[in-house]
Amino acid sequence: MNELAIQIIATVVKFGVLVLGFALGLAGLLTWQERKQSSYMQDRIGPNRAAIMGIRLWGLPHFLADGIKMIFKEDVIPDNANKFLFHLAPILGLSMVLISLAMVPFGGTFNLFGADVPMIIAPISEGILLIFALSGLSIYGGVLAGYSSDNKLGLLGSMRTSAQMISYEVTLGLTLVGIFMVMGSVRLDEIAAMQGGGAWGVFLQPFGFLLFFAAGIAETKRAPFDLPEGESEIVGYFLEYSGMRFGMFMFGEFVEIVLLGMLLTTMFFGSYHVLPWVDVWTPVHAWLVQTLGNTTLAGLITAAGQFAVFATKVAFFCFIQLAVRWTLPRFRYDQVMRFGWLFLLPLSLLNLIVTAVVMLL
Amino acid sequence: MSENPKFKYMHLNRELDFWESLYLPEILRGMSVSLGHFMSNWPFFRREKTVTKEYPEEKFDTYYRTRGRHYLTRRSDGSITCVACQMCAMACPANVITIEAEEIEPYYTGRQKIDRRPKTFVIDQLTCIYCGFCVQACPEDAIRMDSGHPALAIHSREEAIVGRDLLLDMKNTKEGQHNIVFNPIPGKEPAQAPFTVLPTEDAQRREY
Repeated sequence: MNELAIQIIATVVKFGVLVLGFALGLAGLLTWQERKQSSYMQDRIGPNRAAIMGIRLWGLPHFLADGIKMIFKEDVIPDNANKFLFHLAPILGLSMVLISLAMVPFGGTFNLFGADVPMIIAPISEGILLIFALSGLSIYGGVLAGYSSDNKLGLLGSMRTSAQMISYEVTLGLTLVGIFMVMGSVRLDEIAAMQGGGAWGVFLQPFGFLLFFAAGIAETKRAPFDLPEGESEIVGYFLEYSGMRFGMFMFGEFVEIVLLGMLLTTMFFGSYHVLPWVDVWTPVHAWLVQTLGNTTLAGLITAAGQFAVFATKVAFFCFIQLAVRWTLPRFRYDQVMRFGWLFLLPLSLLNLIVTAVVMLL
Repeated sequence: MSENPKFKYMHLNRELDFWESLYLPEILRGMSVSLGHFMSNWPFFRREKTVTKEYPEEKFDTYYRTRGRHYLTRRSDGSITCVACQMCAMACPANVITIEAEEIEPYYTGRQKIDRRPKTFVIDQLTCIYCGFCVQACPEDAIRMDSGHPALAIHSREEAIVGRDLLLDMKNTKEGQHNIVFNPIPGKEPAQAPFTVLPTEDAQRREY
């Protein structure tokens, strides 16, 4: 087989594992996890009635039941809605997040079947910038949804979406500049690889981590920054959506949680590495090559191990995000804006300056 | 503003102190509370702090004076205690009891001769106001409303109109298995029952 064919097949397999298998699977599980975790945090029981052949599994089949319900529900479109934009909005909202997953590394580079296969779907040099561009585009999902659905509250929600998302994207970008300065690269796969033998990002940029986390939660449009949705006041930009179109917005939100977990893991918590300052995978891989005498098999086993470590960390950060969502009370709208512009932004600039000064000295 | 640290969090409009204005310690404090509850409920799904009763499988505790759904009692030989005297139907302020009597081969209990029994005994339990007058009016202790089965769990209105045989078997149905408690407030001494409540099995077969 020539190298191109291997790379194409490997990309398809990586897409299947990371996007279809891991990200979508985890996002689907998170719909169940959110209900179950919130209920345990509030001393309730949560969903436990859905069953497959009488097996309840602590309500785990609920996420299948929810999905089936979403698909078969009536899809109502308002008479005065702009049909084209109305159909376009949920697609924009979900697809941009899904594309972003391609730029996240989940393993090192291995020699498989005679080709160097990087464990990242799209190993392009501008990875993180593309993620920001896509997250900027995904704002249009929310904005167009409220704008096209001929509803005042929906329009209010979409205005809030645009204001909030743009405000927090500034902080999100600026905090990451600190990581880029420390690591000396904007490539996510290089940043991930560099944390193998060295310090993790959180030790180099502890302050940047907190700022990024806060701004990231705001970007996922969930409580305490759930103003665009505002379930308890205006129902938000997807007010007029029903059935699977609403399901796409909701699912996009959960994929965003997974994406934020992936970015946090990659940038600040050593991506697929087990321990900070200690490179575990290089000796393990070398030992496997020596023992098995087959680089492909050794590479696959090491990649699987790295992916498992990565997946565990991502799942942990999803858990933390859900815990934050069910603990903190929501902001008022002016508080969100003030927090973004007058608190997070100056602090992220300060973080940047301090990082620069320390690096110069 | 009070200086007492006990009342620190009771003032809504007070200024935040330095650590509170940093948000982060307070966020961690809140997270520790909610995750503490999570950890006492989640591991192995042990649910230490949840108070939910999962109703159809788990029965509610009912207070011993609860007036639940009516049921008819049996004599020790299994025959119906009711003698179709119409006392309960007359006492009923909502007119929900309809009794049709029939004659039977006369037989003798310890104190009296029995030659009547209800052919039909129908109670509309949705129209019933659960006043308990029928129970008071009954000279034979044939009809009862007690804490055994308080729930009127039905799928249609027709199911609430209950006939004789179902009333007799009510104790054996799924709803008829609630725990009777004398102590509605946990941690307090149980109230003294003014009379003896017999166990449900016994109550059905009580003889006069």
